[in-house]
Amino acid sequence: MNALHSNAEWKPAPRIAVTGGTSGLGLALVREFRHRGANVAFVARDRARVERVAQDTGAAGIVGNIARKEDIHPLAIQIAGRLGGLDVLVNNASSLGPVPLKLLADTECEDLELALETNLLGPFRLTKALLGSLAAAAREGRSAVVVNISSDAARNPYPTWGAYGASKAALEHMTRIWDEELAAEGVRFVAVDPGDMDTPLHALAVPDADPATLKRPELSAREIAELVESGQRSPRRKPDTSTIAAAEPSSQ
Amino acid sequence: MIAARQPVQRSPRAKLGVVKANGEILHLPRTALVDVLNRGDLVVANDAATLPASLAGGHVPTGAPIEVRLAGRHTLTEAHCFTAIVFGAGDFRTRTEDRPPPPPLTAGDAIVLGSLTARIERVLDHPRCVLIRFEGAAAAIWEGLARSGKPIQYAHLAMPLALWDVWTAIAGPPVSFEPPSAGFALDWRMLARMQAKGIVFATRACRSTNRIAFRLLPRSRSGAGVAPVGASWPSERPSCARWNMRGASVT
Repeated sequence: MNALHSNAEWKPAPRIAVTGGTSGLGLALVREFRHRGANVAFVARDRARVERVAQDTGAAGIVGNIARKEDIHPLAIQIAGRLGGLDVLVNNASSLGPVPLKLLADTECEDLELALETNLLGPFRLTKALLGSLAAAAREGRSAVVVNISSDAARNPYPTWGAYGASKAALEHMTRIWDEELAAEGVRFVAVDPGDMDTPLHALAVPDADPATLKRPELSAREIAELVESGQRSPRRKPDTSTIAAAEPSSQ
Repeated sequence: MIAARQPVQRSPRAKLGVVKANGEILHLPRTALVDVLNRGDLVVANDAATLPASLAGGHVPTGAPIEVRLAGRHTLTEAHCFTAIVFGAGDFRTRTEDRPPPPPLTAGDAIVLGSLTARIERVLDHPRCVLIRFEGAAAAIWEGLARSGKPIQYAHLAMPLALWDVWTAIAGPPVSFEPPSAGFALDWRMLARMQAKGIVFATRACRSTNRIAFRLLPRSRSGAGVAPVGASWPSERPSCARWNMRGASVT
């Protein structure tokens, strides 16, 4: 294990899970959160890459595919079990749908389904499975946050980005509804558009893009970490006046 | 009593038994729980998530098929040691009491359970009841349990239970071996109704000095929402929970 740093600013160290944690923004987030001293678990499909990133960062690597319904609860068990709870969930793993990108009229239904399974249903299922852990964290006075990684394609009707854009638009709206509905439980939800980054996903979508014109994923990761860190300093309080939480976790 | 025969734990027809102070017993819908509580009442719920605690595999010394049902864990600080009940061949369609015994089990015996290997540390106070220790790193044990295990099943159910069938709405730490079934009475709408009515809800207890201890959180209004880059989370909720890093603005 090679823990990058142990930054003492976050006390207690937040427990953070990141999906899609072996490349692009997800990998940068794992590194950034570890750098700041968080306890981090990450999820990705490729076992060899998961093991390599786990070795490099000291984070808990978990193999799974959030687009598969059957993977969700095994992932939730491993995340909550290995971290001992959960304060922050970053739904980062994404699918473009058809690659190369296609006009909607040329998009196969299966490609649209893949984008929806990865970008919408996967985050919904994983969030739902981990909501008990997040709400428990909020009851303990910790900052419970779900960060859903979105895109400007969620709002702008870019031709050929239909499957991706529609799925991210749905994810953003779902984020707003989650945030309204879970306010009383003290769990925050935020959708983040990290900008056009120099990542493998962007290279798949726009192969001829000049990387020099793109944002570094490390910068976006730093910005997201700062947002999460500011949340750690000011947990969302439950509005009810009679809220209680346990003094410490059960020892059973 | 009507035994449940379907893997549906959240039936809207599920009942709530209420015993009044005068001994009168009422049968109400589960959703009436909030109606019978008053402001300041305390609801303590078990928020354990259910481990897939049934592991099929084999007893290495004899080659006999076995099913291991995890039943206890001495500490949550490590994932290696469990007490377990061992069955011989068969599956959940045979009633537990009719299941054949496992082969004779001896301390040191290896058992293979999916991707996991364990050894019997010792036989406890029944030939089926053992203390086992999984081999390997904690990460591999968690993965093996999550991937190879199945929820403990019941002979009276026609269909096998999936993990989502045994997962309550408030499920948190994966520490239970069977579902905390009372938790199925709760959903997030009910918790919101409790909140609005001033009913106190808690899920975790510490057992210091053999009693449940709680800590009151400070009274405060909700400080919710999203923040622009470099700022703290605002005390007032913005109109939309969305953060745009392109312009660093709340939209």
